[in-house]
Amino acid sequence: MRRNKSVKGMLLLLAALTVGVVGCSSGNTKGNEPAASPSATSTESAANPSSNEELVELSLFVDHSWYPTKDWSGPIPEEITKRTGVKLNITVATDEKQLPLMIASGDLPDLVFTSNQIVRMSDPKLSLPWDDLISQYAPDFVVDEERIKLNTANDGKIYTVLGAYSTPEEWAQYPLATDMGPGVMVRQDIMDKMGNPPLNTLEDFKNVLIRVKNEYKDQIPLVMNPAGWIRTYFSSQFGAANDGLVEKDGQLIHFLRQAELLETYKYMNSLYREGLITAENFAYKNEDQAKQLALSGKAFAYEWTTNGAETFNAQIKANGGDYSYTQIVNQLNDQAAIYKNSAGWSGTFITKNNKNPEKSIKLMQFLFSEEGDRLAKWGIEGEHWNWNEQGFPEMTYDKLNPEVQNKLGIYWWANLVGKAVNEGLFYYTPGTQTAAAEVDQAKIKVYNPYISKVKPDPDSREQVILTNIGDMLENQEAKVYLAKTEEEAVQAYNEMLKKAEDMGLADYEKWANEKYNEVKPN
Amino acid sequence: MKPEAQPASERPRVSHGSSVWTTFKKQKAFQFFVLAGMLFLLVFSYGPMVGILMAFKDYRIVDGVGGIFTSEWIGMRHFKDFVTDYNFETLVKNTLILSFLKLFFSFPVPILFAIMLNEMRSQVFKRIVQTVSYLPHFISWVVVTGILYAFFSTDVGIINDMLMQLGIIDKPLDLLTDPNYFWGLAVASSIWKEAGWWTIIFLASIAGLDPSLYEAAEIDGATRLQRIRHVTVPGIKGSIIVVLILSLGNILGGGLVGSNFEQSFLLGNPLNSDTSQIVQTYAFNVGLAQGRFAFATAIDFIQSVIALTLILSSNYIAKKVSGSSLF
Repeated sequence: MRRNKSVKGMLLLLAALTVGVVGCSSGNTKGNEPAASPSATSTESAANPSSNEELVELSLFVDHSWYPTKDWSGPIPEEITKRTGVKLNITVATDEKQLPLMIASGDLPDLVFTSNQIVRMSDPKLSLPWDDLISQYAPDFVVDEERIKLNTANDGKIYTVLGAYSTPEEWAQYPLATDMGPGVMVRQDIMDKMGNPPLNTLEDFKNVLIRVKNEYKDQIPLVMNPAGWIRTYFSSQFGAANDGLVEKDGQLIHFLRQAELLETYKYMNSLYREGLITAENFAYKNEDQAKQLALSGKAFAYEWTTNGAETFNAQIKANGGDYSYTQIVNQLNDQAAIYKNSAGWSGTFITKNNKNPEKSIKLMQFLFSEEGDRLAKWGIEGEHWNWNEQGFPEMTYDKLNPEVQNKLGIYWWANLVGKAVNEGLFYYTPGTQTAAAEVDQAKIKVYNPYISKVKPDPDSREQVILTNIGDMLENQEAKVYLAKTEEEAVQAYNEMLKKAEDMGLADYEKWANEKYNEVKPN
Repeated sequence: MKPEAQPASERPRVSHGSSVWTTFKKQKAFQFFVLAGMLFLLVFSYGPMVGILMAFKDYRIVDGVGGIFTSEWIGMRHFKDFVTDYNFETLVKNTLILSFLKLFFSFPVPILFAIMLNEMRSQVFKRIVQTVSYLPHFISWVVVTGILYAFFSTDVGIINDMLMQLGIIDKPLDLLTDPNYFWGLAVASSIWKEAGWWTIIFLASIAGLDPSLYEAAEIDGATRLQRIRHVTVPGIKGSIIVVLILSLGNILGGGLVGSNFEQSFLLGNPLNSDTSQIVQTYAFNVGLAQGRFAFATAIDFIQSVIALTLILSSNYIAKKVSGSSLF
């Protein structure tokens, strides 16, 4: 009998375990669907008696695993909720595979915010077209002609309006709105000790690095931020587009073909051969590895962005360091150019699964409006910022401090559809090195947003060619940088180009030019 | 597990069908366990195999799960794409070399280590060594990579710093970036991480040996080494072969110590990519991360076929040579 009992006990235990497992897994599935519960919770309604009946909770998936603000909290999101009746439940991606998996499984939230999957999400099987929603629910939502042209998908519909873009007119309207670009900074204390040698040309820059190498043995002359910034500053100084396609003599070519890029490679290779950059710099996976060298005082020069020096100086000061960086604000080469071939950065998609398309498009309308964009990006006027007559907002809070941004819930949610000028104005602080560097850089920018419309379908042969070339470059470029002689560097570059040709570079370019002729304005 | 046969006299004299049912009823608790295991296999292993269809189809992720069945057949195009890739030879070569090096060097380590631990006189010391050696198993590869960086980096690594200070080398060793060092680094770090863990299996197997065998050997005048050679090793032969076959089945994943993907992904970089790129990282970067599930499936399918061939042939050879095998 006892045995019988124990068998029964075991069966019960097993049954309980099975139920438990099933329970857990269904719980997990729910957890993975970025909070699809449609019900407006009673506490929310109580907090907002005015919008008692209208408060809608929508789920938003952010396809950027690094996104600094991970929830809809703080006075700014609360204010947006008050004005629009929408509260967002945020899920930030764990990696770049998550969204493709969600697409494949049909498990999409109400809203998706992505830059990697823009073409894929512009599909009637996945997303609701904004133009249909606008005519149905928000006929007063006016999107300008330029943005309509740039955001119209292959099927003639508009599935999103990319944020972080501004038209030439908008840029002209706010001359102090500049945007961040590649930059280089140097240690001022060492520069002082060396008697501030001139820094007007790329040759000057190299000579300064050589002096540092000889006179300050404990310094690495130049460290480059590995997170997408290696090469950017130098390619801009040589006037080479840093990625994608570029227009030369009316034809689009892949950036790898540019003569200016070869010049950039040669220069960077010479830096390596002189011992001014380390090989290991090209192996860093995480930008912290490079940052640590600057923050611990081991890097004389650091290649990153136009606001690099001021960002680092604040941290060095907080750490009790007794040195500071100075941004090189002028261009070091007459050929310098920065190609702005972008029509924006990320877009918000209203998915097929969206439970309240009306509120969703109205939220977009609000965040797109000057009022909504500024509220989300800068805060409440009079409380968080005041307009300076010179033409920029003065913030009442420490705007560059990520903790403050997080606490207020400020800046980041404006990216959903907001404009680049307001972003530029957010960062503008008169008299800073950043502003000086960005104002100078504005002179060398070449705009052609229509090139960004030449994007292959994600499942097409052209996309395969592009992916293969990208993968090859990632692995082969180091051979150019680290070649032992200039001849070897050129040879390694030619080999890369040949491999790209074998992969179908010419076919891709042919397709790109055909597509470009369709989309570019006449 | 085979249930013990009942004596013929106790068997109920009924038709065959109901006798199966009676046996089944008697074993219901055990059968329940078997059923749970089978369900698990069906749901998580056999069910998803349907997805292999994708490898032969023009599958787009926007078509969802149903698209696996409805999308157009394209034959071997994905396979052809992979085989004609400029890097195909390097990828396959690196995968095979890394896998075989790991098998060759990492497989004997836990066996030798278990025997050495077993011969230790101080039980306290044995336990300490055992615990310390299996702890790294619980550290993730991301952390291990961080540790390796802190030790071997040319810019900030303490090993290079130390060797330079002592004047043993005049230029830092680029262990993390030179393609010539990658395989050594991968094999050594995986042994450091996993050998202690696998030692447990062999130690358990040794503990199960009959002590009287050792006593008999001692009376016969066998030395320590002879006892190891003639008692311990033959005694754990079965475990060794089973573990060997299992690790051969996973050989392209790194065998016993696994982690080919993690190592290649985390320790690989543009500088050592000539030796560090393997098929799995390629499938990840060019397939999965780009949403090209069908292509990634085709690559993995090729790998599975190779792995299945290896496990079947090694099982066959083991059966012929030693008489023991997995199935």
